Amino acid sequence: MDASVTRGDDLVTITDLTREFSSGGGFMKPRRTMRAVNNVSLNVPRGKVTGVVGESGCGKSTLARLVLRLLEATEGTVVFDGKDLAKQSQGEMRKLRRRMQMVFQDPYSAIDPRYTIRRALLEPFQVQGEAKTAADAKTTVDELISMVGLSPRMMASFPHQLSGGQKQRVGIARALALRPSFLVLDEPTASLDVSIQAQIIDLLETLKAELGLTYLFISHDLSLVRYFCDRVVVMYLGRVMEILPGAQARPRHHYAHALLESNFEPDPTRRKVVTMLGGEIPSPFATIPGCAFAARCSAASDLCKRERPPLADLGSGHMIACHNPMD
Amino acid sequence: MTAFAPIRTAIGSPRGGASAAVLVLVVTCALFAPLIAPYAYDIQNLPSANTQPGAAHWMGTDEFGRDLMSRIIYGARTSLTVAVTAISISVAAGLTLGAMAGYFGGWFDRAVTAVVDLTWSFPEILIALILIAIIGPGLESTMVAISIAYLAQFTRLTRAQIMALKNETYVEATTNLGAGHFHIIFRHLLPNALTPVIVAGMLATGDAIILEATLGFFGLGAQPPTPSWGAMMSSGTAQIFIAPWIIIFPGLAIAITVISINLFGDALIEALDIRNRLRSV
Repeated sequence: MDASVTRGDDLVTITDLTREFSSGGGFMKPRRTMRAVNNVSLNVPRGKVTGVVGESGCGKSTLARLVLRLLEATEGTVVFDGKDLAKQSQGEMRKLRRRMQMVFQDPYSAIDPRYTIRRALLEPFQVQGEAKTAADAKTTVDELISMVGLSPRMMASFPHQLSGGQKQRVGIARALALRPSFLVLDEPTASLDVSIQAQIIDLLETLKAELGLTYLFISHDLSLVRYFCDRVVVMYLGRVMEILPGAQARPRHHYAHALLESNFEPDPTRRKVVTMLGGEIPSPFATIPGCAFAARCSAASDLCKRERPPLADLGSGHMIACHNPMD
Repeated sequence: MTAFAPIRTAIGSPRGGASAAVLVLVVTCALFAPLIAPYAYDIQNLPSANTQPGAAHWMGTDEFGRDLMSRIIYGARTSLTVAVTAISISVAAGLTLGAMAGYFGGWFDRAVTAVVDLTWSFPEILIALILIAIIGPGLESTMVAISIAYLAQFTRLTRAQIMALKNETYVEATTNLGAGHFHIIFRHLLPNALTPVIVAGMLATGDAIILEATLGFFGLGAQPPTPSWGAMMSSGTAQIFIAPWIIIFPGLAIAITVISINLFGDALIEALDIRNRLRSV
């Protein structure tokens, strides 16, 4: 870990986090268990953007939900600002939720279709038991709505009258209503047009600077992660493969390298040969004793297939889980 | 999007408009029966028994000389009260049970589903007959029997709705704001699940009128002299060759009311665009 990043500088500390899902079972059929998140340890430094990338199904969204205790962890701990989330009572959790919020991938279903924008923006206060006078409510809604760059005229609209980008802005305003310090962004731009994506990212950057927020940014958009994040966590099959200390840091894990290389380069003169990965992702139900990537890795040795590589520090916050890292 | 817009659209369609007009007429008869009915429903006049329909008695008289039209108008009261009360109870109970089963799942869901599926496998009339055999005939037991007979339908429908809705992102988003189960169920899930259940309830009211008439026909419903369309038809069977109008007019009243309810329900489904959601049972 970086010498300047001491434990007190981390807003969220995740230790050995595991979440299992089981499916099937029934008459004469065994229950199958998969580990969506497998022994993940991670820290989210205050005031920074930590990006989590990986293919679909690698456990990114499960991780996001575990961090906010929207799902209970099977094993491991999430410590938010010194508080172990799993040990909080319902009432304490409700209070803590004021400080940790989430922006969802699908803005189209993130607002109740029967709620007006005004009602949706006041709901955070309602569930937190914060009564507001009519005048107070109006000021709050006006403030929130202009903070995310929407017109106060939209207050009386229903979600179906708004565009995807506008809905995502409402989603962000709702997440910010309780003045949180930590925001989990679960692919906030994945279901938006490219031009709108840029606007939303701009907005998130501005808000981060203005409100001093800490982001955990989940995405599969590699160029976006490189642009937006201070640190990049690469996940594969529920495990952390590599943590890059900066967006421009060169990946040394074979999977992280292949993943970040696959990033599409718009300038044809700068395109290089992309190393294609062979093989397929193992079934998440399979128990893999060694490295999850061993079956597809060109540098895999016997050790890789036998023993899971621990997440080791390469210095200056660059962490890697690989027996034979690239040079 | 106000709650009344779909109803207005439904009334605007030809089917919906015509059926709504008939329903308004039936409900008016039920509400203002004493003002509308030309005679009292229970005054017997044996000399003029089995009078043919004519100027004095538009629909004729029954075997006790009572004015048939007055009895049909009062009968609307019985039929509608029983059907609407029974279905309201059934919808309320079904919403509660279905919402809890669908939301919490687990052993409670399995228990509710098992009982509901068991009753679902019998026709409603059979369940109603069994229940009346246990609790005895009468107006109240008819209501209880009908409401239990239709409970399975509303429970299943609500459960299916809630199970689909609870995975919506806004439920997760609201949970993350700190909302508890109570808030999620009553402020988000039930309001969104309500429409198809209400429409199913309305359609079931038509069936409940038939069920009430059937039970009345067997003498298990309202007891004499309270007029009930089913009981009137039953007494008409004895006179079918002497005074066929005694069985025809109550039969027509039942048929027209139920057809109107179904047509209006159909128009409402069309206006609300929820045919798929009703089929999900």
